[in-house]
Amino acid sequence: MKHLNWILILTILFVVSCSTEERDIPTLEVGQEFTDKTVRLIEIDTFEVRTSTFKFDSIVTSQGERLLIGRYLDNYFGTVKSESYMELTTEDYHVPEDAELDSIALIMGYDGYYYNDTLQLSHIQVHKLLEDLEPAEDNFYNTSSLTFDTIPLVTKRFYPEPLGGDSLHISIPKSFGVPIFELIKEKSISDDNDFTEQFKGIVLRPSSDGNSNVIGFTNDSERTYLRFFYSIPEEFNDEDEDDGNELVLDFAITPIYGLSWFNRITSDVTGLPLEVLGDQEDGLSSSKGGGLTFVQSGTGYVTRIEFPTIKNIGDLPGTGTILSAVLEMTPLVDSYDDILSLSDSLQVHVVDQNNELSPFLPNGNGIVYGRFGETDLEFGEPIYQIPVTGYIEQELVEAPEIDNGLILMPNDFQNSIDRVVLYGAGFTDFSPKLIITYAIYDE
Amino acid sequence: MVVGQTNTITASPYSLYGIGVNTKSSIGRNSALGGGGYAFQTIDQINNHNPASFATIPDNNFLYDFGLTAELSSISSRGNEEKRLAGNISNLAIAATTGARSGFGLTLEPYSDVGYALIGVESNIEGSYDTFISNIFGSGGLNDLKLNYGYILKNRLRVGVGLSYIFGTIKETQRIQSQYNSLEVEDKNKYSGFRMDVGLQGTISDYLKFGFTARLPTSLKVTHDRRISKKVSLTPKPQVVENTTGEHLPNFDLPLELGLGIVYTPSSSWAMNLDYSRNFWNTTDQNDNIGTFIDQEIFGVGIEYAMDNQSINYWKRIKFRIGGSYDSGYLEVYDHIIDGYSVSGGIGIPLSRSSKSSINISYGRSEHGASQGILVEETLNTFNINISLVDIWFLKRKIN
Repeated sequence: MKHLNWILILTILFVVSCSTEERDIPTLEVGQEFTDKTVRLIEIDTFEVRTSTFKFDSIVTSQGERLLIGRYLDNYFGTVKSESYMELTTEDYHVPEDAELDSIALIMGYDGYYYNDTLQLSHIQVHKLLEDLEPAEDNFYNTSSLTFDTIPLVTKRFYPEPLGGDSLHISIPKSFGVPIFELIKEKSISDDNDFTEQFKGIVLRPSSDGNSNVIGFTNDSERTYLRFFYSIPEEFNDEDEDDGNELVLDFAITPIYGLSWFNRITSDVTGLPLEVLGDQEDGLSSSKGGGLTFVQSGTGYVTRIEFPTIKNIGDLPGTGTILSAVLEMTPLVDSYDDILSLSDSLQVHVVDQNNELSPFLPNGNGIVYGRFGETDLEFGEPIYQIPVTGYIEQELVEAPEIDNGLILMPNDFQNSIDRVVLYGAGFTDFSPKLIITYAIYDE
Repeated sequence: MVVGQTNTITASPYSLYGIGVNTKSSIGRNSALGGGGYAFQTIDQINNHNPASFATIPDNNFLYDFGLTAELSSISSRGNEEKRLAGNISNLAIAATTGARSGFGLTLEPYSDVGYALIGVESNIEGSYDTFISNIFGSGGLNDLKLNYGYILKNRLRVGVGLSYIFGTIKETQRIQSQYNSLEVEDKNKYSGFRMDVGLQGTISDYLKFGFTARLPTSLKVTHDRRISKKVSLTPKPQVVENTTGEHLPNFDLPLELGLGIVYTPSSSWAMNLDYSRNFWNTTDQNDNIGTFIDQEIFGVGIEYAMDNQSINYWKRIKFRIGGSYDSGYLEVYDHIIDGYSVSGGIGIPLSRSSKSSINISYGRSEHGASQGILVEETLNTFNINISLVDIWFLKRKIN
């Protein structure tokens, strides 16, 4: 039938232009009155937030790139102190037999980190280590210590320049280095083992009454090293100029065998609310901490947060799902400024009922960060906003006996001395708020 | 299995309600003649409006009908205007005699259309000063697969019965955006059901014929699938919150529809048709969203002219058509009843000198709704192209 051709041609023509996808449909901005929306969103901020502080028994402080040295008095954290222990080695233990030691200097490269007042006169004491730099346990912690010679080799008085200056230059008495230099010349010391037998390392400490600041130095061997300046006296010395080849032998931190340095970071909180914390399991609830919670890197104080009534969300009428859950916490007004700077972000982790870190990630996708910067709507104070959606959803499906919590800690928790003081659940005005946006799709 | 039309042709926001808007396209010549045709007989063109019309298919004739529709719509609301063009197959139909006194037809037509997108609906988050945005999309429609049988009862009286299988899926998707989080609720309603209609056609005199149909009320079964997923804080993959299938919803009732029409043919050149139908939505007692379903009346009139319908001359058999209709509307929204009217015109061109097959082209313009206040006014320009093929069986085989 010839008509069949007509059918085929026209079918093909129009079927091709047939599909109207959703976006081809006219789109109109019509108002609410035209739709029967079946989904509505509500915001709830009345769930209880319970806050407390605890202290990690110990934290690893031998990873990273920063040597922390200093001491200052803190209103909330007491006497805060950090010392650096390090073992120094070199690559080539070779010195010509006729070399003469001229001087020794310890060069400490600033890495830009500082905490508290750098305008204060600071002191660094250099001590000789009397013990091998070997950990008693599997690692070095902020609570680790080794014996050292209590009489310092030298005490350096200085005004820190962590941002402007390149490095701190500490002159070491030549008398300390001469015996070692001779042994190297004689080739009695020809490798690391020989060397560390004679010279176990040094400890850099603030003075015992120091109240100034904590400074960070890099452990990069290019910028922080113990330098032996030596020269080879020339047979002929025509000019009177001190022209002799100034040769150097540098010893630095070289973590070939793993652990070769650590920071010992401690604080004395006698007389302060934090005093009550003994073990990691102990908690200082914000109601007993003056309505505040505390966070401090280095020493290991973290804020713990729980949402004990969150399961009541099931009481809401209808069926719904959580679209977002954000925890807002306000740092104590006037507790931070340029010198006691506040972290821009805080890491969020989950701990169990004994305050041990849980493997569960609050987000399932990676580390969650609370960001600082937005201001809260009510008081206009800057706040931390911490997304906790994944954690809350997990809490809702968990058995009620499980007693997890969230903790907040600054980045660089193991390599700095940053503090955050937050308003806790005790305060009426700035107390933490959990803001949940809930979508109800079935009434 | 026949799938029917799966594409939306109507861009009408009124298709938001119920099962959508009734489609305006139809088989054969009817779209040009006010959409009516209860009294037309299926002789050289299939008339799907009345099952009794299939009784008069000439012996050994086999008819095909295949139609395409394009719709250019212009929708305005509060000064905003949108234009869209959409195309679709409008129908497939076949019909044949089953004897000297009877005939049957099988037709597939869209029954209703849903196509809308509401973008940027802003709503308040309760308990906060923030708002969230909803985008709502609807698509789909119902199809009518009908088997018609007509029988010549007496010389001037023909009866018919039709059995329809009405089926289709209507999908509504709601997407909610609030800061970096989003929620998507996708609802699919699957409708299915059978419907019977009966028809009557009679010849009053050589010039006057009448037709009457009753589409009996029926209940369509509705099953509901729902899929809810969300994306929280820029996570790449959506998380499924709920996924239920096969939930039974209350049936959707289609009302009793009565139709009455007459056609007046004073000569072989002129034919005029008048049609009236009433759909009894009130008794179904249904409402949807913010509209209530109310009784609907449709009036249609059409005039067809050809120089000489019986002529062998090809040019004299070209038909010119004009028509108009008024639909009182089946929706009452906020005390406004959404009515509409349309005018149409078209031509029927014979395909060849010898056969009765033809191409029908029609253009119709309809207006709907009200623009003052909150409602939306739509103007639809519909083009129909439709091929009516008449094949003479058996005779052809003899020749071969």
